[in-house]
Amino acid sequence: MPTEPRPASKRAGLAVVGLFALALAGMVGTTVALLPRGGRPPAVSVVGGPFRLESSKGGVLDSASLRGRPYLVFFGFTQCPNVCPTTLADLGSLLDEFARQGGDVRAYYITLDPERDTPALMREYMAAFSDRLTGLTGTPEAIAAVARAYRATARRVPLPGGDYTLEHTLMVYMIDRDGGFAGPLDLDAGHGLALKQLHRLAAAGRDS
Amino acid sequence: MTPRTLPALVLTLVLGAAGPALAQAGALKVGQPWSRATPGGARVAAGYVTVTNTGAAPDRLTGGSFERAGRVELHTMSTEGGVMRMAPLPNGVEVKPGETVTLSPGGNHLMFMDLTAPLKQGEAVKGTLTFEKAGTVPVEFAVGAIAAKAPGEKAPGDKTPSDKAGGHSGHAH
Repeated sequence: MPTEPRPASKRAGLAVVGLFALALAGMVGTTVALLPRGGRPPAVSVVGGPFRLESSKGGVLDSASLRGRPYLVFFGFTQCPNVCPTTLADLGSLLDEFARQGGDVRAYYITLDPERDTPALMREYMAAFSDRLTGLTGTPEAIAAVARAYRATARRVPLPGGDYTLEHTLMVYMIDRDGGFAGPLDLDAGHGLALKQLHRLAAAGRDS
Repeated sequence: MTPRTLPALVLTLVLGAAGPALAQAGALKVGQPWSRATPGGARVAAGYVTVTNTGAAPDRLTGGSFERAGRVELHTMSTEGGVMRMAPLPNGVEVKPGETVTLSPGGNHLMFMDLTAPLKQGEAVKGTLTFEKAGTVPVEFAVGAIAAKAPGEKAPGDKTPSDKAGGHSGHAH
């Protein structure tokens, strides 16, 4: 009779070992899955993405053609009375100043109001700003896709006269030469800081 | 009056005429109204002004007119989490006794809708401000640079060559 419990405890012991083995396998599996594949992890950014839009300078601009050059992206619309024109004018003078320091960064102003902002209107509007700025528009679908990729929000606000205005993201996106998001450009702290950011952006990825 | 003080008086009158157009409507003192040059194709612009109530009764800015706009609305703007928020102010803006209300970029502003022609830097454009009690006050909006953030400011970014004495500093060279 004293032998009765033995097989049971043996079974229990085996079960415990089995559990440990499962846990170990789980841990190893997770670790392997989390390990970077290859020496360098692929350049993945959750913000930004490719676009093909109509340029205020004529023709279609494909973001693939910008590879190898860092650039800036800003969203707005031409019927924006406060922030958009002042930001564009400020961006233009900043990029012109950066050019005088030997740098070359362009900015792309993507409209969030494609129904009203036709390529012709964008061309007329952008003429008030530095040549280093280009306006982009497209079909509502193409604009929605690029806004989604950049996590940019746009919301229509109806106005009393039956018109509407837009609430939208104000960030100026810095895109590095590999097409990855490199953070927001800070225009509020003065051109000194923004120029430093541009120099860093222009230098990033050059040696790799 | 001596002949020597006459030129000074004339100069004062001339400068006074060219200086900030301060309007007074009863107890309300209206500061220099201003706007900004508009890019081609823009059909809207914003107007800014300060109003001080020196009286004992509250008043309310309810709207106005602008010679070059189809209509004028009062709007408010704010920035929340990197997103610009806009809302019409259908009840206008109250000006309490002893207080100064400032319409400025980044806050409450007059919205000039359906512009009939672009605004150019250096222009003065006629308009009115409408108050609940003080009535309609004729004003002139001074048009600043596209990037102006304050009245009369020569901001960077405009293409006018006479603007080298810009008010911005901190440029690294």
